[in-house]
Amino acid sequence: MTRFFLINFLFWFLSVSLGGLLAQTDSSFEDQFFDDIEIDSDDESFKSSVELSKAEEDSVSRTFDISGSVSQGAIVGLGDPSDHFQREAKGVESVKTEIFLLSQGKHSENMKSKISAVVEYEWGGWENGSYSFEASQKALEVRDLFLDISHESGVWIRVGNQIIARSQLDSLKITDVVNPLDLSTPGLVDLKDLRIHVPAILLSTPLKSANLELVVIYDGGGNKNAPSGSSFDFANSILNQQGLYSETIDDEPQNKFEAVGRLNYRLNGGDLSLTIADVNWDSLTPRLLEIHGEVATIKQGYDRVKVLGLSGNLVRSDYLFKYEIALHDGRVFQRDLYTALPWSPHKQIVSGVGIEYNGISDIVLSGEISNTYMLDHNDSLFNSEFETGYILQARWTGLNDIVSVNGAYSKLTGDDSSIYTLFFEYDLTDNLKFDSQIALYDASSQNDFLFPFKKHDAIKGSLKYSF
Amino acid sequence: MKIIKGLITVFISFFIAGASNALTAYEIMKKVDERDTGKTQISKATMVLIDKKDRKRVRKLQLFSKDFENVDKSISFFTSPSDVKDTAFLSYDWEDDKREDDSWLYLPSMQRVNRIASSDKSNSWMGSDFTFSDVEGTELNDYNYELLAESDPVGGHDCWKIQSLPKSKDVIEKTGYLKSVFWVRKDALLIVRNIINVKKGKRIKYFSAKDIENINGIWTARTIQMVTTKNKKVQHSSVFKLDEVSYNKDLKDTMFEVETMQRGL
Repeated sequence: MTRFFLINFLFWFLSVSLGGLLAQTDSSFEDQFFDDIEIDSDDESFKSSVELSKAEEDSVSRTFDISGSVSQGAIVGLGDPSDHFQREAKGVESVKTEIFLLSQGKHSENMKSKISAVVEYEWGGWENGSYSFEASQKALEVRDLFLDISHESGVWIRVGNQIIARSQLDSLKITDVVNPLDLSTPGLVDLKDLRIHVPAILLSTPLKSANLELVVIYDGGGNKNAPSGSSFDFANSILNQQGLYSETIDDEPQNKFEAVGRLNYRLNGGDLSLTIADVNWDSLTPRLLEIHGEVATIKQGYDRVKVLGLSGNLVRSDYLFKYEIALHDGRVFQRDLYTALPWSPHKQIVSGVGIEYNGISDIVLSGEISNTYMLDHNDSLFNSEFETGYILQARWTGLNDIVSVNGAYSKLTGDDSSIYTLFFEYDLTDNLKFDSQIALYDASSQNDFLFPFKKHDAIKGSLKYSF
Repeated sequence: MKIIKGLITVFISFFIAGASNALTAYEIMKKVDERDTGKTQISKATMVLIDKKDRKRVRKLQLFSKDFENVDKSISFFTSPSDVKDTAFLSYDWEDDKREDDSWLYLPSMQRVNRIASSDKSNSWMGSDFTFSDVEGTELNDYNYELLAESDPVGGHDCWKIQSLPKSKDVIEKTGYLKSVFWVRKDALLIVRNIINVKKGKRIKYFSAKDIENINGIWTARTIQMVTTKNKKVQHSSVFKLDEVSYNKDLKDTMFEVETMQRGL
């Protein structure tokens, strides 16, 4: 009995003391995770006095800084395009160096300015069956150049070259009609470079429970298309099939002023915007075709389009629903043949819905369907009365935002053309970033928009240093 | 009501001298929840993200928040490095629990404001070890609380040690957290340590609040850090350091509008 008691006592003692010891060890082990983490603290900025003096506050309200980036990128064609294009075989499509500079100034609490510009240097071009460093090109492009004036009441005016991006959907231009787009390399343009800056005045003011935006644009220009003869020169691809070489001349718009008005409501669980606009459509259409020998000269012009639209979003749990619908009045559309001029004017109802799911950690899944419905449709038109397209996307961000991967499949509205893209981005350091993108083009019928480009699959890579 | 009002208030607390000894865990947490954090807060901060190879990424940001009648609004702007500069995050945290919080993100690269579906709060906030639920806060009544120790000092300050368990799977799904054990400093009603069991990847996160000062009568942790571990090894850590802070300064209501994100600081 005594022996049994001793054994039990010993067992109890060991379990209690060892348990306590183990718990103590575990607790001590965990303590290391509460230790101070050594960081290079900026003693100057880490002020012991947390109350700012008036002089300090005034100095904070006047700031000026310069930032920028230098990037080196290259595009390599993976397929063998036809001999209608400058690059007719696999190989380097582009080697480009880009220097971007941005300066922002805060002149007072209510006045700011921003200027940014990019210098691009293309190291060569495709000549006589190979990429040649003889054909280098350089370009300077001013992007942001504006002055911001704001008032405590919430009124805000931005004057100058700017981007006013207000879309809900990415698949089709429905109510976001201010900025033209860069379509020179579909699927390979960086999203940050997709919209082209326009000279405009933006007035934004609270209006009861809403916000009113009025935009006046002057000489905003059109979409940026591929240079003549380059890989994505659409007109060239059409005319080459007829044994012609094309030149395009862009006519000036009849009215260089454009206006857009938007009434925005921010509601609990969703946003709503009404849009009314009178704009020059950014996708130019052919007006006149002249053929001299083997050279076809196409004069392109702007359609003057009136837009009446509704757009918004709705959040429910992990889902974000997005929608846009608009009536476009004033666009012209291709008849059977691209070269059958003039094109035919028609009203069009353009709409789209999208859904985004955020319920999986670090992953966003999204999809969009867009539709066009042409009023007064007839059989002589190239486009169908009702056309549809869609985009499916998946994005993963990992390793505390160091790496992100985005995959997308886009089926164009109007035909069976589609683009697969895969984008990869990796932050090597705070300042150094590598990204890569592959675009694969697919089209089954000769009438498909991307059919001439179906052998233009390409991969792009770039290394960017930001400062 | 939010139990943790988020990074913008950076674990600040109202000093209550001689807090009662006979409080239940829930009553303690209710006091933490109801502490005065000032009508407005303006701060400048540095966030350092450190990976397991000790590589550091540094982000500077400015944070503004204001308590309105039935909603807490906050807006934050990244000011460096240059590739995230001007990224802005706006959030409306409604007192009525039935109303979903509203959140918008402005990405300067796109120059576009995107609304965010905000139900899942378990995602990393701007690449840090803090999640959106850490930043935006969690609901007091979503948890059961248990007082594990009446007195367990941290850094020489007497603390209550409290465990919180989510009342439903839905809360676990939203926050990604299975269980929390935290230490509340008695003199400041401030959470100074927290050990969090994370659902995903069986990770454990260690939160600590340091450099605690009483600023204008409001207790403020000027440094907070979160260390993410797996199998007792550090995976990643984040340090959030307040460089400047001020309370109850005049902030215009228009500061907390979508247009402010587009306009920038």
